[in-house]
Parts: sequence; C-alpha cells; structure tokens
Amino acid sequence: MSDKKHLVVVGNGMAGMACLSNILKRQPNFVVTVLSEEPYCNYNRILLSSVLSGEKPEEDIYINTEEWYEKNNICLRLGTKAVDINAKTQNIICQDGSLVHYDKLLIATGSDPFIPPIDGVKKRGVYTFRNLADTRAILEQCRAKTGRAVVIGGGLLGLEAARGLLNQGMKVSVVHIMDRLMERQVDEKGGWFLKREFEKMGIDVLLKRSTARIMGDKDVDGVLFKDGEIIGADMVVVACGIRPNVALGKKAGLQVNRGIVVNDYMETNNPDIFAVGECVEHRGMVYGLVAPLWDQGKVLAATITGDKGPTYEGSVLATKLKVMGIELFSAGEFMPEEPEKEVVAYEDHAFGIYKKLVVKNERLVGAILIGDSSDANRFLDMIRKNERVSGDRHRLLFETPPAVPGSPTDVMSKPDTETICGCIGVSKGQIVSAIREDGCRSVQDIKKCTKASTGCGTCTGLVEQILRAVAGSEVEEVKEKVVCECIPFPKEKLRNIIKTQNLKSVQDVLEVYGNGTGCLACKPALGFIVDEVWCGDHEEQRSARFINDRVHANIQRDGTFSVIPRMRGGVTSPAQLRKIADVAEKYKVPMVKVTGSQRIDLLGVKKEDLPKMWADLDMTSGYAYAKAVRMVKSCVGTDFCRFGTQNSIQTGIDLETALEGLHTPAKVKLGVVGCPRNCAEATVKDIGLVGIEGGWQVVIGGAAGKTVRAADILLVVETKEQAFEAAFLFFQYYRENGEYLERTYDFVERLGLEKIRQETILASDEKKRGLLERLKKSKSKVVNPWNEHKKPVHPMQFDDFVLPKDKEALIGSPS
Amino acid sequence: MNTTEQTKWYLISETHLFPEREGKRVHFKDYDIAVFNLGNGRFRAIDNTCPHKQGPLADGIVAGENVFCPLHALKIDLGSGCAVEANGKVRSYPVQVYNAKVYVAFDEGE
Ligand code: FES
Repeated sequence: MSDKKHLVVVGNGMAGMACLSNILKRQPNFVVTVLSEEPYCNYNRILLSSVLSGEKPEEDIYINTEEWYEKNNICLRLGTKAVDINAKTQNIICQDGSLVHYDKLLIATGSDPFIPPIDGVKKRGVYTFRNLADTRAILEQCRAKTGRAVVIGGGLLGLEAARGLLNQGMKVSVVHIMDRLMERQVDEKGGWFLKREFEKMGIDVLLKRSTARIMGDKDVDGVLFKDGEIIGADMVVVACGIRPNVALGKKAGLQVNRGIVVNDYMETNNPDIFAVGECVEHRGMVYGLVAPLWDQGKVLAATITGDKGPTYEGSVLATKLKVMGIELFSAGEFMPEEPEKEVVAYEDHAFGIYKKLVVKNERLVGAILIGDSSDANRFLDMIRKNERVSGDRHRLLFETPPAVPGSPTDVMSKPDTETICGCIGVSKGQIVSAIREDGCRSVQDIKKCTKASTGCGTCTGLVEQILRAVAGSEVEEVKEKVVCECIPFPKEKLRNIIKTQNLKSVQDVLEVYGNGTGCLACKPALGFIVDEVWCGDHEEQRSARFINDRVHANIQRDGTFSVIPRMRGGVTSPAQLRKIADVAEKYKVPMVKVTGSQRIDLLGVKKEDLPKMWADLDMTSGYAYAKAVRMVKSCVGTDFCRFGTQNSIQTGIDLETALEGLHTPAKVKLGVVGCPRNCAEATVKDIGLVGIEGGWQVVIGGAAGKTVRAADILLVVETKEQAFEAAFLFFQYYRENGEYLERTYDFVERLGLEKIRQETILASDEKKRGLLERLKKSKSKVVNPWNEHKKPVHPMQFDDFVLPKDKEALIGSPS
Repeated sequence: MNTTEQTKWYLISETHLFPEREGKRVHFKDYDIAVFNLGNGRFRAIDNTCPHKQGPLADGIVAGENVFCPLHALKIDLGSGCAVEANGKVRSYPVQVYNAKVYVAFDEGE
C-alpha cells in the first residue's frame, strides 16, 4: 500500500468518472479517493431531462453503482465538498473540515448554472436545472400543484426543461433574450422551424425578452420584463447556460481563463494537478458536451499514468436536442459569414424539416438538421475528418442510393471509424470488435461492453443492425411473443392475417391458421381479436368465450353468479335503488354489496334467474365480468364539492357512456376527478382525467390492484373535448396493440410513454382519424348484452336440462 | 363403457338444443352431469362436478376433446373423464346420437 500514490478526484460527474474508468483500465499504481459534493453515485447528467419528462425513472440514469466503487477499491466520499486546495502541502480542505492529502489531483468539478443578476431569483418556486436535486425539487412542485411555468433561457437545457415541464402538466412559456431559440446551434431559419415545433406542442415561446424581475411575495407569482410586460408564473426555471466551475483551480494557483487551462496532454501548469471536462479550457475552447470529455479522459488517463504521448486536439462542437417529438442536430460552424462558405439547404414546411450544410474549401464544416436527424452521424464524421466532399451537392445532402431504413447493409456500408453512439463516442469499429472479439451477442451485451447506446439511446437501432450483420444467426433473439402454441403467430401478424384472409370467427382462424381446437388461453384471446379487428363486425362465437361472457355475469366459487348493473359515473337514483332492492328480495339474493367501483353487486344469483332479473332491473350490464370497459369512477366535482375545479360527475357519466360496452385486452377501469385531490383515485386507473384549474390532465397506465402504479400523464389540455380525444386515442391504440390480458400498466411500461405519445396524441392527423374512426365503428356495434333476456342467442343459453324422475328409458340401443 | 342389449338409454333432448362446442348441464335423479356437443355430431357426457373444487364443468371452455373447468382451469379429457397432466377423474357416460336426438346411459357411467 505504502508505495502506492494517492489519486484524489474532485467531482463525481460524468467527466471525472469516465476519466477514472480509463485510468483504472491502465492498472495504475494508485489508491483512489473520489470526493463527491452531490450525495449520490455517478449519474448520467444528460438524462436529467428524461427524468423530468417522466420518460425514465431516476434509477435508470445511474452509471456506476456503489458496488462499482467498491469493486475498484475506490473510496467514495459522498456529500463531501472540497473548498480549498493547498498546492504546496498537497492538501485538499473539505467543507466538513477534513483534510485530504493527494499525490495526484484530478479536478473534474464541471460547471455551475449561470444565474443572471435578476431581482427575485431567491424566491420560492425558482429553480435551476442542473442536477438531480434540482430535478427532484421541480418534480415535487409539479406533483403538488400544476400551474404556469416560465423557463428563462431558450437554449438546449431550457428547451429540454420546458418539454419536461409540459409532460408534468404545467402550462409552459419559454423566455429567451435573443431573437431565436438556440442561437448558438441554429441559424435564423432553423430558429423559425424550432419555434414552430415548440408552439405546436403548446409551449409559448417569447423571444427578445429581457427579464427585469421575478415577482411575488415569498412564492414566485410572475415575471416582469424590461419592457414592462408581466406574465404569471407559479414556477420559474432559470436555464441561462453554464459557467465552468473553476474556483478550486484558482485556489490551487492554476492558470485559469474561462476554464482551467490545459495543454494537449491535458496537463495544467502544476505537474501534480490535472483537470478534465466542462471545467477546463483547451486551446481557448470550453466544452459543455459529453463527447469531448470522453476524448479528454482517454488522453488524461495516459498522461497521468505515465504513458504521456496521446494528445487531445479539440472536438467538433455537436449538439443533439433531446426533446420528444423534436429532432435537432447541429454541428460545426453554420453561419456563412465568410464569402468562401457555401450553403446547401433543404426545407419542407409541411413536415417541419430543415437541413442546412455549410461547405468551405470543398469541405463540410457545419450542419443543422431539424425534423430529421437521421444523417447526423454521417455529417458529423465528415466534419471531423475534414475530407473533401464530392462536387455533387445534392448527393451530399441525400446520400445515394437512399438508405433503406432498417436494412442491415446500410449501416455496414459505413466506415469503421464512423461514430454510432454520439453521446459516448463509440465507433462502428468498436462495436464490431465487441461482437467479434468480446463475444457480444445481444444489444444488452454491447451496451455493457462498449457503453454505446447508454447515453440518449437514439442509436440502439443502429447498434442492433450492426449486431445482426456481424453475428448473423448467433444473435440472441428476444423471442417474439406468440398468441398461443395453438396459433403460433405474434398478435400483430395475426391481426393482419385475420384482415387479409377475411377471417371472421374464432373457429375460422383456428382452423385455417391454428391447430383447429385452440385452448383456454387462445380462444378468448381470439374472440377479442376478431371483434377488435372487425370493429364489432365479426361472427360472434360464444363457445370461444369464458362462461362470464356467455351469460354476462361473473361466476363465483360455488357456480352462482354476480350481477352488477351499470351506474354511470357512480351515479344512481332513489328509483333505481328501489328497483335493485326489489329485485334482490324477489330473487332472494344472498348478498348485496357496494363495490370498490361505485356500483352495487348482487351476489349468489342462479344462472337461470339471470334473464328474469335483467328484465326486472331494466338496466344496462355493468360488464363487471368481462375484459372490457368496467366503469368510470368519479368524485363530486364542481356540482357540490368546495374544492372542485371541474365538473367531474357529468364528465364521468359522459366518458362512461362513450366507452361502455367495448371490449379490451384486459379490463379497463377509468376515473374522473374534479381536482388533484384525486378523491376518485383517477391517478391509479387505466385511464384517468384529472381536473386542474383551467384544464384536464389525461393520465394512463395507473393501477391499484396486485400492482400499484401511479398513472403517467399523457398530456394536459384545456377542454373536456380535448381530454376525451386523447383518452379515446390511447384507448383504441391499447385495444389494437395490447397483448391479450395485458393491463394498461404493463402495456405502458412495455411500449414506453414516449412511443405511446408518438402513436396517439402526437401521431399524424391521418393516424389519429383512423384510430377514432375504428373506435366509433366498434362503438356503433355495441348492444346491451342483457337484452338477451328477450332474445337469447341460443334457446338453452341460461337453462339446464332437467329430466323427470320417472323418465322412461329405452332398453338396448336407440338405433 | 360397455353398453349391451340391456343398457338403459335415456333421451335427453334434441341435438340442436346443445350449442356447438359448449357444455350443458343435465339433472336426472341424483345425477348431475354435463353433456358436450363437440361439433360434427360428436357428443360427450361426464359428471358435472370438477374433482378439484366442484366447479361446474358444463360452464367450461371446450377445446377439441377437452374441457377447461371455469373455476381454476383444470383440463379434463371428455372421453375418459380423466384430468390431463394432473390428478383427478370424473365419471364419464356413454352417449349416443340417433335421429337428431341425444341419449345418455346413466347407469353405465364409469
Ligand atoms: S374447481 Fe375445477 S379447477 Fe378448481
């Protein structure tokens, strides 16, 4: 131990730990201590916006766990802030008073959010958006109370924050001092496209506004601009950029300009002190991106372990905006200020696509891609390599032949040096060698081995293509889930078969494409699928249905049934209650019970009494026995409740009326509440509407059964009609894409909220119309199944055969 | 199930009153049986009471030659009355269809 040198890393962020990983790979003669001001293990800061938007849970963004530190014998001191350095004695002074001696010191303190000198930034409800604590605090306020959020700053971070806040149910405005968003990454036209995309999402974009003051008593309640204009705000997020955190560097007597100055070997002017990441300045550049710190880390690792040689020569600035629904990529220099720069551009207003390339001396020097960034890595490589481009500018913009998306050859035709994962900086060659040399056989393996695709995740598809092309049949297949062994097709394929082959009944499907008999699992599943595919225009076969769906009641452990009439929104009347009471007495119902779904359950009914009871009740079936829409639970709302902000009762009734009678992959329970107090538990329903001041949150995928899961916010809208449309889109999408028996909470987790949004509320108008029309058609075919008391589907539907005791027998054979 | 010249056959009902690929419960004296119409004129009869926890087998889902109990999905072979891939057995009865009528020989059940 004694001959080992003590390496202390100040900063537990991505730069410090990426660099430390590289150092460890060289098996250095170091004992390592990491001082972390934040009280958590190392996490992926660029994914904070995904946590804010709800796309990823916090657990998903950790890069290294405590075990990793332990395994590598790193002493990790969480919550320990280094406040001073004595470079002579080689000691670090921490806030808790402790002294840490170092032999080699690595400063990776990153950067701090820049807070402009505005009055009122200390008020409650004003946040920065830089670390996990900020993110948690913002989320906490969103959850406690939605309202208006103002984001000050229209750069990358501000826009990601804005999108996240929108997802959390806030009404969001972005305020920017410049005349366009992300002015350092896009030109004027790009700014126009970008603004339009954000406005389409429902985010207000206020440009050329200089904030004078944040207003409010203790809590923020508005923002005042220098021109006198005021906008209301319940929350303000300051995202005005970052400043390198160089305080320690200065105290250590290092040379500091904007950042801690380092040379190409990543050395500072003190031979025992090194610095990496956002806090350093190299050749006059300070980087706020991930790829450069990765490159720097590799060079630094060589230098510090005594293998000085490799050099860092700077990085091309490249940015990808990670905002769901918007693609933006920008790299290099894009402003054609010099006469020798020429521009190649393409615009498509209808699809919101804008591409601009800047060429200088026959070399690509800059690119902006909005709306379609699929070529981002190709352009980035061209810029990095500084190669001559062909004379044909059209070819530059659109590679010929056009790449067929998904075809394995398309990525394999690219050179080994091409970057596949832009976040971590992994090339195609590295991935290929992970497959060939390290034996990776799944995307998961590759992620572990190379870290590719562990950043923003957009390259997962490409990684998979490479895997397939290189490993071929050896790829570990994630088994495609088939409906059943009796009919071995995945559900999506089966739906197509049913449509194209015009199969209208379960038996037809089983006979033509299955084993002819089916089983308990697939018959009801097929019953649902043919109904759903043909929007109710199928041939109903009761034999494929569970007994509950043959007699429209729920079978009990003793073979009797339970009867639950529909009470829309949980609303009933004295007359209805009287009728139910009379029926219960007349048929000697042994148990009458109020259910958890705001309805009344008559338990212990004999099968043959069912039709008679329905006739007496003259109510609609509550479908409490079916994989179908069960009910809409509602709270009292503005009609009576002191706190109500929306009319939840009528909304609940209307919603139930709109969807009742429709079958679904698994039961669907809905809820409508008039305010976020959530009295009718809408946030743990499959679909919920939560009334807020001036609007509705539409939430999906909640559960409060065996699984408990808080619903995700699909979106926030102003009117009930908009809320219904969103709910209907999700409802029908789930009907069409859910696996049979898959509840919405599993469905939402399997597909991910983002995909569901893209396919529903953010889908093209045509797609949306399709979903809504199929829903409408299915709904038009719904009839109250309890009408079968008048007209049974079969003469013996509810009856048994009873032979008289003295029934005579035929002796011998009847034939 | 051996039937002979002496077997007593009881007429249950007409075939069209048995929905295809479903079971129907038949009560007679102390008998409580389930008669299944498997389609194509094939009928089966077994005791209605599931050996697991007395579920009504007539209410089960029919798949080929098997029925699945509606309560906990025990799979029973309709010919023999034996549970498939599990323990348990119910009596099965001889059934005959003649002139679109269904007959069961209650006494011959085994
Ligand atoms: S009672 Fe038949 S399976 Fe349990």
